[in-house]
This record gives sequence, structure tokens and C-alpha cells, in this order.
Amino acid sequence: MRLEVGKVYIRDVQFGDNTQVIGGTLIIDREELCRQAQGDDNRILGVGVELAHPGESTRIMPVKDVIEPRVKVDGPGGVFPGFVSGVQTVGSGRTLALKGCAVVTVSQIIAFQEGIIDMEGPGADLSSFSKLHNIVLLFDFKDDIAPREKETAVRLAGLRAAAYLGEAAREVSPDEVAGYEAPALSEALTAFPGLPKVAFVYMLQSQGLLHDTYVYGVDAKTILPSIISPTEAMDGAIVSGNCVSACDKNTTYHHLNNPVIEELYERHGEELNFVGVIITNENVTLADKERSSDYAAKLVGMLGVDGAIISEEGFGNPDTDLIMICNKVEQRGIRTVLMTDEFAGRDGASQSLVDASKLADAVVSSGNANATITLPPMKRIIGHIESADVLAGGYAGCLADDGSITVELQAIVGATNILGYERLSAIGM
Amino acid sequence: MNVLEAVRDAVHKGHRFLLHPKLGNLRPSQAFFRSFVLSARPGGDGEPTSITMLENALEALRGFGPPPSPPERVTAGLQAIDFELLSTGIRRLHPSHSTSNGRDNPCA
Repeated sequence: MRLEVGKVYIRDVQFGDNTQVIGGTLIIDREELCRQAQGDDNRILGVGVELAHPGESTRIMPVKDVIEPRVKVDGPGGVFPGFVSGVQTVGSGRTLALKGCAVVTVSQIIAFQEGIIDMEGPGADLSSFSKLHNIVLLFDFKDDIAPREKETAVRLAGLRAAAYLGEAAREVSPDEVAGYEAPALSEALTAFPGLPKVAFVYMLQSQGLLHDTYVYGVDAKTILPSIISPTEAMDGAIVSGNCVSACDKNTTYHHLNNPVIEELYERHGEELNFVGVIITNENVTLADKERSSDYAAKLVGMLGVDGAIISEEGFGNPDTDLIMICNKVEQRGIRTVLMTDEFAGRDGASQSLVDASKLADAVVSSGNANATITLPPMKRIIGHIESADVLAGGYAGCLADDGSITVELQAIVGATNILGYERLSAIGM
Repeated sequence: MNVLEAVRDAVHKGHRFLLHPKLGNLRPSQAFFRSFVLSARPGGDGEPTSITMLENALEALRGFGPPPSPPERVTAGLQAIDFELLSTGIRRLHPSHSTSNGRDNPCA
């Protein structure tokens, strides 16, 4: 498989009469975007859209997902297969990405929700989404829609919106094109003799409501670990239904722009041989954890690689999945590097993970989610002000008299993203 | 912590975890509702995996203290998350015993 990702740089987003890309500006027909986002979903009474630009005194919350608009202009299938497009296998041909902007879905699925993106200030430094021109979708639901139904409706609306906006770039010449090869395994395994062969084990959150991920529209909790081309992730084969906790959930944007995959490609053929990707899930039953960790480790062994990078999503019981996979891969004589964030208490001195192993001796930390930060007041809040009240009501944060909020990094979207999208890490002691 | 300690006592008597003791990704201070699924009958002496798992979970929680009582309008949402995660686990354990109408049975 070969995928070309054409990058269309968006330097501004404005509302206008017709949705189109002109000279680096994404112009959006606001009413049409709302119609496209809502589709024929009668659970939704209406969709609103607001724009948030970098550097504005704006707080967006509670965020459910962040999605980069993309459009497939050549090759089989379409973006977000299984949801917006059919279920054909993607990851080849050419796909255009609108860089510099994102669809952000905001909704209060349950009363208490975090998920802050600050467009300026110290909070902005912790989330790369503050650097994007964000197209924020807000939802009005019928009464008595259950949380599960709301989550589904919001997720689908966000994907429809991102696909609609991506279409605006269909005829645009990209500013830059990057090519990604994913050859057959027979070729991949022998491509660079002398270089260590490396696989990426990509753990996907799959515990249930607000903790789910989808692969070609299939709930990841129902899959067996599978080999997937890294280019399939770039075409939206993996979609997020996971927004808890905000700091270390992989948004759909992260799946589309996976830094581990990007870095492995960057080093491919020079320092290592990037052989492939194995996706696996993070389940709640111990039997499923045993099954998936066994199977994932088996696939790593079948690839015959020298090393495996394993990225977790989330914290708590997925730490057990992470350690299980580590142990089983290491016991096959294959070295591992684990990627995780930490919940080490506000002083950073508590046990970071709920599970551990002597074999887990190479771990990259994306930071301590319990570290606190004081976010200054913002002039505008897009989303649910009552969420800010609850967040600041002492239950999960502290509201000062001047309107600033002290919260844990856990509340900030992507702050400790385990795929390495941000810059937080840890200092060894 | 009292619930966890009662669960620990059961595990030491031989009951084993069927679901991991730390469901979900709410931080410990937010996890006001916690549900556990243990085997109905003890299997003899304390089951090592379950004991280790629970002791690790307890150790990770000790640094956080008991969660504060949530505001009333938050309670229903936290209960919903706890119920959903528990339901997901139970459906995975017993696919024929769906807690919904079965259409979202992952094993169907």
C-alpha cells in the first residue's frame, strides 16, 4: 500500500456564503455545516457552530473529540470508513488534510465532564489544539436522550462535519505532499538487513461509554488484536469515542496524526525497519485482558521483530493490559519500550501505574496528569458554563475570586497525550 | 477505600476478580461510585492474580484520599458511567445476559 497525504495549510477560518478553501482560508457556510453535521439524526434538535482562533481569550469545554477535516481524492474507500464512508479498506491512494484547523465537538454527555482547550495562556501551552483554528460544534438534544445515545450522536455529527469541510479541499492543490509506503510483510521484513525490526503495538481504549474506540466502525472492545497498515490510521480507520480522561485520551485528530507512526516512518530505513502496526484493545474483564495480551504478543512474535513500542491509552486498569503485553512480548525475547503517562499524585511521589513488572525497564512518560495548573479567566467560554462551575466548585478544581481555576492536567485535552503529541515528560529521580 | 478493603477481604478468602478492580478513567477523586464483580464462590486460597491486582489498585489509591461528595447534579452522571462500565463488563462475561435490549451485545 502507498498513501500520499496532501497537506492543505489553513491559515484562517471564517464564515461565508459557500464552503470553500480560498488562498489558505477555509470559508464556511455556517447553516450548511450545521445541516451536514446533524444529518438525519432526529435525536438532535439543532447544531450550533462557533469559531475559536489561536491567541483568543477563549475556553472551549467540555470537549468530546477533535477531528481534522480530510478528503480522499484517490484510491479505494473514503475517510472515516464505517461511519461517514463505506467499509472498504483505506490507506492507499491520496488523501488531503486541512492542516491548521479542526472540528471540535462539545457536549455535556453527563453532568460532570472535563476537557478544556484554552486558546491562550498557560493552558494553551499544554494542548496543541490551541494552535488550531477550531470549528466548535455545539448540540441541542431532545429531552430524555440517554447518555449513550448522545455520545453516538455527537461522535457521528463531528465526523460528518469533518468530512463535509474536507470536501472543500477536494480540488485544491496541496501545499505539501508526503508519501507513506506500507509494503507486503515479505518485503518489509527483509527490506533493510542489519537494521533492527520494530513493530508498534497501538493500544485502544475500549472500556465502555466515553471510553471507546472504533476501527472501521467496529467497536474495538469486540476485536481481536489485528495487524493494520499505519496508513489506514491516516485515513480515519480508527475513530475516537473516548473522552475520559481529557489529558490522555487519543482524539480522532491524534489517531489521524499519530506521532509514533510519523516518527517511525521518519527513522525507517535509517535507524530501524518499521515493520508494522498491531492494534489491540483495553478491556474490563480479566479474561479479555488475557486473551488480547496473549494475541497481541503472539502477533508481535509472528512478525519476528527485534523490538516493539507499546503505547497505552488512558490509565488505571489499562496499565494492567500494558504490563501484560510487555511481559508476554519480553518473554518471547523481544525488547519493549512502553509509552504511558503517570498518575503519581500532585507531588509526583506516588506510584504512577497500578501495575508493574521488572521486564518493563524502558518506559517513556508523557507526564504526570495529577500535576496542577492555574488557568486564568477567559473572556469567552464556548460550551457549557455550568461545566466550568462544577469543575471549579471544589469537586475537581478550585475557583479563585479572580475567576482563575486551579485544576489537574487531567482536565486539559491532550495535555499528557501518550502518543507523544505534546512535550511533557518526567525527570528520573 | 472501605469498599475496596471489603473486596480485598473477599479476595483473600478466595473469591477472584472477573472485572478489573479499577474500571474507567475518572481520577480517583472523582470515582465516587465503584462497582466490583467477583466470583460467586471462593476458589480456595486467595487467588494470586486477584490479590496482586487489588493490592496494586489500593496502593495507587492511597495517595489520593477518599473522593469528596460530588454535587447533586453530577451524581447521576457518575452513576451512569459506573453502570455503563459495569454493564459492558457483564455483557462480555455473559453475552446472553445483556443488560440492554441486546442490540449492542458485542458478542452477538
